[in-house]
Amino acid sequence: MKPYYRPPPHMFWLHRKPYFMFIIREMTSLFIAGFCLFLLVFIYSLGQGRETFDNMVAFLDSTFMIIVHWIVLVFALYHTFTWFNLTPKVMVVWIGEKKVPEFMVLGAVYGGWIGVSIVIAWLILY
Amino acid sequence: MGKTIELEIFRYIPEIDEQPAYRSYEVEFEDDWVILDAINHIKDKMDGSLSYRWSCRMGVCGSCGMMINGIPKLTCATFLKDYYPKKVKVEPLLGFPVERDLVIVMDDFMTKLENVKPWMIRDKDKEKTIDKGEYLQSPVQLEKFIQFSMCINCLLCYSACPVYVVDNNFIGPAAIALAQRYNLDSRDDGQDQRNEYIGKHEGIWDCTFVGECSKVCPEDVDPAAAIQQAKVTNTQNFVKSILWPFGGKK
Amino acid sequence: MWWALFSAGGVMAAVFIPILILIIGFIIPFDLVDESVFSYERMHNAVSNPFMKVILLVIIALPFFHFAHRFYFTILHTGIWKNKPVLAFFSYGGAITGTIIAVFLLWRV
Repeated sequence: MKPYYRPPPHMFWLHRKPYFMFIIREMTSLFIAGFCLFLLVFIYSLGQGRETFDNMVAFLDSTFMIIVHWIVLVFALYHTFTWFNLTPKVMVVWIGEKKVPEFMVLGAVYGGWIGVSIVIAWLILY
Repeated sequence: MGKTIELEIFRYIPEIDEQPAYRSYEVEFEDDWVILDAINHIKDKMDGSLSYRWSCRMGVCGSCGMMINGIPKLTCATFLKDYYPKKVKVEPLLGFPVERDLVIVMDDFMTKLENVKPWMIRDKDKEKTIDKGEYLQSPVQLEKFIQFSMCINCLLCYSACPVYVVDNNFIGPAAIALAQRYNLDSRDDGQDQRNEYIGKHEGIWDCTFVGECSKVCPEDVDPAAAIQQAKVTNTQNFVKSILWPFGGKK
Repeated sequence: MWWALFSAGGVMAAVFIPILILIIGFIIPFDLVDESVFSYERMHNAVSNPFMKVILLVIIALPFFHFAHRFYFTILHTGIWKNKPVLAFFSYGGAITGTIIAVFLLWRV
């Protein structure tokens, strides 16, 4: 037997849309980690005193930062949706003898997310 | 009369060819023809040298999986009319060595399948004698694993998995799903043995949940879900074994 | 168990990050609430609370591990670089460094 070994396709993730969307999904984490770093900068400015902090808040007003935040928000939401949509696959919930249907798990997850977001917004803003 | 469709087929005959090549065939077909019908027609009427695997032609045996225009499919369940008038490109399943034409070498999967011990393992002291009756299982206990038992080993999921195609060391979707099928069976006691194998780096941890394995599965086994659930279980076991060193495995 | 940290980070990122981006990226710059809400005193008070520090650490540090994990496998599986130990060192090491910096900065506030 003389089998033929096909070389693995180069750049598999450019071949088909699902693979491409997969790589996008993985890359959302880059933007999220970047935002977390920015949060750290924010916290650092708090430690530096009033003037640095006020400059920081003023910096947020710049068009550049607003555009960056738009982009990051799109990726963050893509992460949230892909992450939540896969949740019922990973966590199969049983209540007693009944398997909880996927749409109910999804509903609970999204409901919880919106609830938590509102609570956070309320805590920070009021 | 029927319409004519072009099939571009991957050809490799090891005794003759150094390199594989594509050969085109024009086939007259009816609307109810699947791709396997066209390949059988080519073999019978046009080119007897073509080699491929098939058996049941009804989506049960799992032997006629091929790449159809780059996507792994059972050729017995894929209709020509869905591609007409475009041509259909038929290649052997991706990620496996090619033995001849559309026939792949399955040895790698067979080894992995054996390693996950896809059979019932029981603790010796739990065995009953025949006169004590059968091992009963409730519908709920059945539901926990029945989905993963539908696998027909067609290997479409392996060809859809970029992780496996790039790195053959990955144990892969079907084998892990079958490990879960027995792990979740209430009559089975072999979880520790199987988890030791699938819990390796090349096992569940190499999976990045692309999810394509589940999409191409002709039997809706959902191997991707099986792998993630195995990750959760293994993580829980790991945490338990830290918090409770004496009874962590139970 | 990098996967545990990865998935915990994924949850943090999915649940908390969008609303935080919304507040920092849009509500503050567009002045949708009174400026006093983001005054130095109020923010400083909030963040210097030890309980708050722990929460912030969790929300900020776990996504670093989430990123490290996805970065590691993306680089590996796209075949960009195949040196597993070195790649793991930089990915997860980066996340650990990020966490230490986060602890340090939160400590200083």
